Amino acid sequence: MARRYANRAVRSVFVYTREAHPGESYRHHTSMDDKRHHARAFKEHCRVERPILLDDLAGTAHRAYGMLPNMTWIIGRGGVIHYKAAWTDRADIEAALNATLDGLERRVAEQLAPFHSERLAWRVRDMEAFRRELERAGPQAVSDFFGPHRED
Amino acid sequence: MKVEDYNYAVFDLRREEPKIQAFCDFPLRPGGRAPSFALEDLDGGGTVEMKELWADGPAILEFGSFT
Repeated sequence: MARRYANRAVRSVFVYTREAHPGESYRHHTSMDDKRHHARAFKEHCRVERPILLDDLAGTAHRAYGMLPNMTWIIGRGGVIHYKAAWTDRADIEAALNATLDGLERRVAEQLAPFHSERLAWRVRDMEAFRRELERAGPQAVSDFFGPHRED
Repeated sequence: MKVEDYNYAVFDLRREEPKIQAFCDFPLRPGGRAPSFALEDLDGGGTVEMKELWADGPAILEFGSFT
């Protein structure tokens, strides 16, 4: 998706935060070197082509944007927030981006003004695939999430 | 928040889930101004100020980790 919109001056980056589900193979960060090592493994395993930018060890940017494990935000030119999502869903992001670009292109000619709206969106939640991802982090990551307190 | 508290060693759903539920009330929202911080570029090793990302056009920011 990042490549498709690059010619419209849209930049797409991955901001690397704390480990959401630390385990024996990928522990919580105690240094920036830990973070760099994990981010490189992520880049290679997931074949990430977008730039990966590392937040500081204290999570300053992550905390300022809400501190959720996999949020996506769309920021317009100059810094106005256009989209805020608790999770990352490709279809939802693409729809929001198209609406943003469409509005920006038409706003002067059609005298458009932005307004705030909110809605719920949907994402696929494949628990088996998620368990496999936790297994990659290590047995502790699996037991921390699927421990006795989980009902599903 | 202490660095060691932010980088928790153990995931606790009872601690983290309320934050997800409260995200809609988080004061940063569409129409507001995005804060900018200096981030380290994994590839180049240099520093990128977030506001550079949206200086010329929209920017998509995905936050996450390998785990």
